[in-house]
Amino acid sequence: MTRTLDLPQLETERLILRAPGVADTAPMLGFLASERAEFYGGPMNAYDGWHKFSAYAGQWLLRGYGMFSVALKTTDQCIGMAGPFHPDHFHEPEMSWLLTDAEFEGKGYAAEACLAVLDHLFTSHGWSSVVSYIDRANTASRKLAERLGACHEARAEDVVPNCDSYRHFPAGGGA
Amino acid sequence: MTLPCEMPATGPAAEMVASLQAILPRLTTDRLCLRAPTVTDFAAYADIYLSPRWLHDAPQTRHDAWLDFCEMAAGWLWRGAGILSVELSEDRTLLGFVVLNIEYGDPEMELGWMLTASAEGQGYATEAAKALRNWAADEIGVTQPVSYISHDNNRSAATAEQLGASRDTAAEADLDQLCQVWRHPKAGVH
Repeated sequence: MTRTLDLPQLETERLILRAPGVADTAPMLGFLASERAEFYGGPMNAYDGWHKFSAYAGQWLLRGYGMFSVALKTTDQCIGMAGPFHPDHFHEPEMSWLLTDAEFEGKGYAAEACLAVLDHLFTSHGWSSVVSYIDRANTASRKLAERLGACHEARAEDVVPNCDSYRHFPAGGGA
Repeated sequence: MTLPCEMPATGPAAEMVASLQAILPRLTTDRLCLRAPTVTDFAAYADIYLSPRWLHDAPQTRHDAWLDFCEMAAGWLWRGAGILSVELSEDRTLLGFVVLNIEYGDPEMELGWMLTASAEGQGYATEAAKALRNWAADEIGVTQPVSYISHDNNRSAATAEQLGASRDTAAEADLDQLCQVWRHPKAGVH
């Protein structure tokens, strides 16, 4: 008997946000092995990538929230992840996002996914705010945080080197 | 020290955790209860993971332990099998963990066990691993799993032997890494 764990699923105009699945392993390990993973502890080998990706999945069971796989509605192809992950040494869960390949950039997918996740956290979970730590060299992520209406708070050197903290609030969620 | 990430979830997240955990098996033996892992069990997991008794290839941090603990839990989402916490039935003392997992690159499912230092030497690992092994055979059709054991981990090898497992040299030859492969018997040794 296989036990099915029902995790929440979110839907936007073009995307399905669902529980990370084993089928997402290949695109995620590809991402984590690439230069694109520079701000995610990468590039890393497949063993470490598996460790990280499966931890993203497993946190759901322990914390009751976590990273969603972001898939295109048309193909169910995993193009990235978005959601809160809480590494051991962080004071609070961090809202993070990624797109696995450059071909998915510039289409507004990350913003679309993040807005759905933020709305879920503020509405269904009742969170009053959530933080994102963004490397000062990560221009794309900083711009997205600003587009999402996040407030630039402060340097976050005590949490992650070279990072600033951006805080998302319910009121700014739809900006 | 209890870190924020080790505090139990609250609100709707706590309900989500409860509903997920309710789906996991709860197994009982003469002395033990094997139950869903909780975030508050992580401190014990990290203690074991970071202790010299756990033989790592490279130095590890508490953050590595957290990723590992989450990975062990992910199996429940992906394979219908993963980590269970082992506690003493009479007073609910946490003794350690047993796990059915496939790590990256491993050819098949592994049965593993890890106990706190104070819980060693009392047959708990054998008792808990046997219960999970029987459950795997009965409920998910996993028979004869293996245990990957470092050549210098004599304690774990002794536990494997007590569980009726024997060295599988063919499987060892197929493996990239140097470790012992202990194959568990088909019928559970009750």
